[in-house]
Amino acid sequence: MVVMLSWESTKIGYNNLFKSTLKLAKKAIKKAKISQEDIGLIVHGGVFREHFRTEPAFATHIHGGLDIHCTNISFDSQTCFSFDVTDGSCSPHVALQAIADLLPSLTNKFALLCIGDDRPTKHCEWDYESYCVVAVIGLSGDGIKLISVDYDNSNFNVNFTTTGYFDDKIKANKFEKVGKIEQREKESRDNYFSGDSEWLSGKHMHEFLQRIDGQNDTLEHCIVDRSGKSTTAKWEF
Amino acid sequence: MSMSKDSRHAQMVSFAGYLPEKKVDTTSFAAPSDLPRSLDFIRLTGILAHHEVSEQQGSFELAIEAAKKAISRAQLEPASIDLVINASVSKMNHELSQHLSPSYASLIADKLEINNAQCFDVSNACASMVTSLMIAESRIRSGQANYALIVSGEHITPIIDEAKRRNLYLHPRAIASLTVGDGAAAYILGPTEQEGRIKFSEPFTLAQHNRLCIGQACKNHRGPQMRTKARDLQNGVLDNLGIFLQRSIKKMGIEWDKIDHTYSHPTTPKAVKKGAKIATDTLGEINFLHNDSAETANTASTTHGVLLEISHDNKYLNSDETVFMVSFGSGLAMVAIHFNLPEGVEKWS
Repeated sequence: MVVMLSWESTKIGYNNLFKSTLKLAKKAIKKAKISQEDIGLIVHGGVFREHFRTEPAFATHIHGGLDIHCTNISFDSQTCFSFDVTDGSCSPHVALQAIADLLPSLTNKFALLCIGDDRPTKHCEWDYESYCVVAVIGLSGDGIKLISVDYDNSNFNVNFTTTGYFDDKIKANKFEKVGKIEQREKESRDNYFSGDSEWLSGKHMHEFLQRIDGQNDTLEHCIVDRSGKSTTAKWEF
Repeated sequence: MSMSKDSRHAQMVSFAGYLPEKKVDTTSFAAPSDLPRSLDFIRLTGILAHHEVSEQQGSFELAIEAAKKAISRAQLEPASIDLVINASVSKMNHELSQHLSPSYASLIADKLEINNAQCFDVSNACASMVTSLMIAESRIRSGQANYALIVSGEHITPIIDEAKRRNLYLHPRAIASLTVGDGAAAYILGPTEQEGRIKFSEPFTLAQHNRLCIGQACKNHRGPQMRTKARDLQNGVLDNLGIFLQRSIKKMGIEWDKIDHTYSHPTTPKAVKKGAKIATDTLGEINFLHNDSAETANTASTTHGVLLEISHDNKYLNSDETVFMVSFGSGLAMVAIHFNLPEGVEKWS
């Protein structure tokens, strides 16, 4: 499918996602030995945005912050396209698939994968560890190769949802999680890693990236969302 | 359907648009006396009315209506759909709560008994639908999916109520919120051996304009709000439209005068006319511009599907004719799709 040429990740505070993503993106691009102008696609994956923002896509803010082809269109100007995807904690794998889907048809053959969440408002209870992850993805080159992404809906529970709402008592926006899931602990063995189902997307990717050093064969990364659905990405080293 | 990778392509199998029954006249909430400087909103925008959900409807219920119609027209069993992408921006229920996780597509698939599909959401403002179509087309072409449902229900009229609560003299950026309507759309894509039945332009995001339209939860009331620098956003589109269209036509390898039906993103009917003039000046006459949003308003990601449905109801569409749709989304996304209408479209109920 695609190759992860470089990556950066860091733990962030409650609402540092934008600044952290920009900082990590610049480092990851430099590490991949490409220019910002080579980026043709930016895909962000996550669930929570500041003030429950719905538009524009968070990726467009990263795009603007990096100032990639932010000019009017001319007959020979280059293009970069940005959008968000989401599917609970499985968002990183969905974002990688979307990059693999679209990158081959674009002129600029590198993409930025951006993963992370912001605490939407200060009124939201936030017991998550927030991580920001940025990776440069290409169609080929030196890096870890994404072979496939599989999905499994067999344990999906449609009632286990997360919803943003306005709390009339305190006159502020919060979110609530419905459904109590059976805790799924992280599982790590030679060629397989699966995180905790209560982790956010960024933490899933951060923990996965901690395990790739020293790998020389394949590593399957499974993300189980709190709704029970899961995705498994198979990587080759 | 067994096809080699080289002979496998994607096509539009069906589409559907849905509007809730309740119709609201623009004069009931945006009369000159309601607006700063006695603005004649209807003259300015061309919007006469929009549709709104009933009490128990939200984005989900709208999406289900459109999806059911599209699946029925495709004559498919739900179980044969293996990819569901939700493109709704609002994801808002009737109590004005915003769905966050898991993907809305998962809930929609569950309701439709599509049990074995990969499901996720794409968010790219009003361009979410065409962005989703691009992903679905690629999945089908590469053999990773057979039939894809791309669906969106937009319950966005609460931003009208939010704007009406504001003093629009002090909050002029809320005025664009009065241009929206509720609606839904769905498309089914499937495999074909025939190349070129769906083509896409180069997709652009002109991110220098990414702060001109912001939608988010209202900070002190239930529901969403939108703030728009409407003129700047419109200029961002119009300044780039001519070259965008020329590049799109060239990249798609199509001839402008052979396009049977053209649809723009109808922010307002008046704005579409301005865009059409640029297109005509640049590329020549448009064979058939469908600018029928005067009574539907801007239904965000669902606009093209809603307009296609109106064209179908008016018996304008025939099998295999070609459609060119231009999509704009705050951010500022610009992307176009060209496709052949499904066989039998004129016989759909």
